[in-house]
Amino acid sequence: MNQGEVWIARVPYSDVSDSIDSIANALIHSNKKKSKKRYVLVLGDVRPVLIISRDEYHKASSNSSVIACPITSNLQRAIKMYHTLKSAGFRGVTPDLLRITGNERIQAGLDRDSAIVILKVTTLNVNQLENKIGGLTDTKVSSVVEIVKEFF
Amino acid sequence: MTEGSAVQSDGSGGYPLNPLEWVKWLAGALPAAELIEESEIPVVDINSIKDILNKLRQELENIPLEELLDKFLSVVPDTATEESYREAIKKLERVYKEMFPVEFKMLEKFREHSTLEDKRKVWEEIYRPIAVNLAEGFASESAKLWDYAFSKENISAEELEELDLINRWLFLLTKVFAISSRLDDMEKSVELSRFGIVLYLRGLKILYETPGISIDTAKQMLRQDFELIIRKILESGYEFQKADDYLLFEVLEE
Repeated sequence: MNQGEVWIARVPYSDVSDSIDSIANALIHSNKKKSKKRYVLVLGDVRPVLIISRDEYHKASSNSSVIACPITSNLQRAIKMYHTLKSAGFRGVTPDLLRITGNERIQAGLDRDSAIVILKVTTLNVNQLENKIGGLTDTKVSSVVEIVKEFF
Repeated sequence: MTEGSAVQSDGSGGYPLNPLEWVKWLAGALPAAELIEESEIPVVDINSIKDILNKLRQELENIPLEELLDKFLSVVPDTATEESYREAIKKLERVYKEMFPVEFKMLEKFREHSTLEDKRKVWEEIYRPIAVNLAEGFASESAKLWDYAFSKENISAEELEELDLINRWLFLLTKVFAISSRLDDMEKSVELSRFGIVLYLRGLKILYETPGISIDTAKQMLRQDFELIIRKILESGYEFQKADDYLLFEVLEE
């Protein structure tokens, strides 16, 4: 996998942390052998992601993980994120940057107008990547990375 | 659009420009589908059929939009089930026949000496381009909707919710006609496009032509349609592309 590629991936939910422990406990209780094994759950969904980490990062991690932004076709989520980023003062956030439309959408392998969910940048294990569906230009990816840098 | 309907956007400088006008896009779709549906199709001087459909389209252009909508929306079912959709398709065929008796009579003349090869020719040269145009038209409307949503300052939560619902509806319409145009099985292709036509009309009625309906009710009603259409897509035998599962999932996502 390389920077700028769009993959279908298993992306963990970002808002279910409270329930993970209770689910894990329930599983432990239902285990008849009373195993002490600790369950690790990844609750999430399958969606496209844009890989934003550099290829050097992939080499350094022995190609075991990538940093990626989820992609959504949910208009409401996209617009809310856009206004949140703008009102928080992030420079360089424009509709063109967030949106994947027209030829770009075709290059990305998507058949619906979508947006890059920069706010939910996440690290994924390569096992969570399922298949590559397309890619975005270096220019676009660099702009996305610039915004992410502003988070810090 | 009807006062008090689920969608309040008036289109003044925004979106949608006029979703009711899209009804004219359907002009050739149903008659073309009908040609394929008939087991004994005519044959087929393909150009003659094209001429008839063009004439039909021109006549349709001359009919006032209000009148057209009255006729087309009169077939829209109250619920979204496979049976109610099929019933609506039958009613719509009757509406077309009443509106264009001359053209339909001419089309019927073709039904006497057709072969499977003729049928496939009609499908490939007439029906498929219509389905592709419809898919492209709805996709283009969806892109305009995103343009509008991103460009509007201080967009309200209510309007955003409306636009999100329209966006899901437009995506499924795009998907139905695009998949219909790509299927190798003619019957399944035609069936899918007919369901697409009813989805369009039902969306139009629920979103724009039902006074006093709230956006929440519109969402609940259209969810039945979305589930039905996704089931029809899954049953169509279409070989899914890599990102399809996720995209269909997002249509039903709360």
